[in-house]
Amino acid sequence: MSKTDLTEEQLERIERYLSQEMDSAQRAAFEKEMQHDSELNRQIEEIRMLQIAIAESGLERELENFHSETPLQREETKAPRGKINLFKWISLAAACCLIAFVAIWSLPENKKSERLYSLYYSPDPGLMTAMTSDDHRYEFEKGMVNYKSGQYDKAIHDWTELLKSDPQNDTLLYFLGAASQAADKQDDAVKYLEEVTKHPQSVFLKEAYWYLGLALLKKGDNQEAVRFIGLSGRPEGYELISNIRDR
Amino acid sequence: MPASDHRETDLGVALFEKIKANDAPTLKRLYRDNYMQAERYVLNNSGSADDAKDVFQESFIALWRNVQLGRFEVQHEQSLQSYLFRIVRNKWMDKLRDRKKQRDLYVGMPENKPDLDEQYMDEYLTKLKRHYNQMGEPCKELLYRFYFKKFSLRDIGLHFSWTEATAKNNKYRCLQKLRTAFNKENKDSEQN
Repeated sequence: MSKTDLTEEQLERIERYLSQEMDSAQRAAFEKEMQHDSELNRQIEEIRMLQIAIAESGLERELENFHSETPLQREETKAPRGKINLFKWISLAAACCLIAFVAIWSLPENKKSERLYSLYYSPDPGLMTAMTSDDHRYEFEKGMVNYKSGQYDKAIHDWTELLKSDPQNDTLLYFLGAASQAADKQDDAVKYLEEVTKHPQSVFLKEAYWYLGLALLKKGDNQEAVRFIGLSGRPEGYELISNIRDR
Repeated sequence: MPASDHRETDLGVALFEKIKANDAPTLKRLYRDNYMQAERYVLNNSGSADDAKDVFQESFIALWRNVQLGRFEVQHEQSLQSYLFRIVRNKWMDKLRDRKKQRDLYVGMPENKPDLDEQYMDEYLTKLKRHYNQMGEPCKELLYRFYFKKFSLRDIGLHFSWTEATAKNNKYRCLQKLRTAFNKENKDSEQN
């Protein structure tokens, strides 16, 4: 990109533009200038990239802090350190991978569906909770906290209560489906997720197709599974479909 | 009652703005709220806790970068979290695929290749970050405080015992230093 010099004033102007600190008149004048000055456009792009690179390095620096404050669920699964030498450890890891992948493609059909399911399924991460004072929202978020801490049966209980007064709420239906699926109650998951797919405007529609497809895969209905996975439009959906069809 | 209406969209937009502004509590919460799911996924799919951490942190950075570059716009909170999860899954699949290739067991799973423009931009940013990380401490700290923490020049001046005008001038000089180092490398590689 640009190799020309930039004065302090020019830099300041570009930065004010990028951080949207210009008033509308200044902005209009600046944008007019941009239309005729390709060098200015390159400088703007260069400064934007510099800002992102510096901030990204800053974020990398913060990640260890974030991590140290994050509850880790399975500390005990970490390998003991220092006792196994590196070569042995790599061999062991490689052997595990080898076994896992040979295993998937040599299992009988129903087992293969289950293995594919476990490879592609991961529970919906859920919504962020803010614990507002709105009663209904509060009840919903209580369920969400249970859901996100893996207490799926409690979440199902909370949301089933709410569904009684609002049986067509697509958010509730979707998360009831998600919680049922996470609790491995695939029949219930199918029931709720099918309801979501009757709401073509729902923001959860594509997600519902994806998880419905996976629930059907787990139940062994590969034909319907492929149909819904296709409808979900997920990038990894095509990969999964070809793996399902690959007998 | 939570429904997928415009209220969700408004919350999503607010969240998006906070990520763009590097709001630390928001970023921390996003990290904390999503880590467990990612860890569970990697552990359930032949990975270790260390793998989970690496993959999640790479994915978190990728999400942040894509928000900054406008490659991804949040419509609602749920789409952001699903998007992050999709990055985790793709990255972990790629890592498994690489390990599998090393064992000559490639079974035809397609790779998740970014398009060429994205690849170019990602490499460009990686180079810039390397030059930034090679800078001396005062410049690094000053630029970090200004561009990531979004502190004012006045506050930065107070930290370094400078006047606001000196902080402003030093910020300019540090940025010029970074530009010069980076452009020199580009010029050298063009000549070779």
